[in-house]
Amino acid sequence: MNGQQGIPLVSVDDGMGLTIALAIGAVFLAAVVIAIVRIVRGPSILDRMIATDAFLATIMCGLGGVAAFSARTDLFPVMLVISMFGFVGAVGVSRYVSRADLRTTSRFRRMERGQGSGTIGTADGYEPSVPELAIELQEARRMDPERAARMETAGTDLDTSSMRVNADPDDVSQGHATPSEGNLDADPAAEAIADSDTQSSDAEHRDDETRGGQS
Amino acid sequence: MTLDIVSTIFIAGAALLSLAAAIGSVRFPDLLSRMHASSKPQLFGLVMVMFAVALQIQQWGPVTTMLVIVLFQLFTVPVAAHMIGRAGYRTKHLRRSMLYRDELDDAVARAQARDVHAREAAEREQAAQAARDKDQETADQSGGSASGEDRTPNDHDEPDTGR
Repeated sequence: MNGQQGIPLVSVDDGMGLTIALAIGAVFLAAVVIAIVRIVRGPSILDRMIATDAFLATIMCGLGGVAAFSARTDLFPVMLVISMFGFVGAVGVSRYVSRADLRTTSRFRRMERGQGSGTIGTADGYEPSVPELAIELQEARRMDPERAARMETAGTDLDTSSMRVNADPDDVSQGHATPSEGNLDADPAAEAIADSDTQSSDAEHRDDETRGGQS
Repeated sequence: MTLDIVSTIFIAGAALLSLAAAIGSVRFPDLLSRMHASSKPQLFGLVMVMFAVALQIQQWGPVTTMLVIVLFQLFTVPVAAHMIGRAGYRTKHLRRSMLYRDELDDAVARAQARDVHAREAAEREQAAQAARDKDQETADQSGGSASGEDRTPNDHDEPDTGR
């Protein structure tokens, strides 16, 4: 029992129909193999997740093709489960991806060459955006010298703009303004106390200390 | 016969879309462009396959099941793409030199500037509050014990150093 619900489009004794069905199946197979290539190679885990989505979509389309060609209906629950797995996997992976997963493949290659420990998630494995830019610049030099020159002139700008996304908010507050000195100057009450009361000079000193530690 | 040909063409179109998605996800250089390439067969290919199945099995049961699958994909594919793109932006999985313009960058800069302003205002208010308390204390016990004078500014300084 395979849920047969009608006349199949392709039967074994139908030569031309079978040829067409096999050709379409070969195209699906090629798509699956190429998606697996990206899953294996993909430099980051998000690339792998995208390729996995494409892989699962291809599998679903292939199952739908089988269902249409052989007129069987028992493959639809399988398609539903596959689509659900694809969604849950994509959301889970993108929810828990971290910066340590950046370019894991290149890290493994370096580990094969004996440079670097290859550990993931440690300070050793953390790669800031500067090497990323260097790799890109290298590629651009190989492909397009004009674009490489443009990137080199705009390199620092690119780098800071990419650094600003994940920067610590406290670091950003340092770069933007000087709140500590402005605060002390703009606070007449504190200055008045500091002038009048000799006892509170100690407190003012401590205040300066904390502000210095903060800025 | 005509229906058979049409459904075969639909399935062949879905197969070609899948192949294009796979080739695009291998050939394209960036996370976002790979996402653009690989999201084509997830909906359009599935809809084509559904048309082929509906032309081939002309009954309501399989067609409604197929419709449920397509609706599920229709709801979940944008969510998954949004999550992946968001995670890629936050973890800097994108090449900035390949972007013509980064609209999210303006929003991020604006939000950070707003945070900085809010923090400055909070600090100013806190300093004013500390000064007011200190003022009141000196007015209450002028020339009081040194230990009491020492401890009160410490209490007010604690939140500052903690940050």
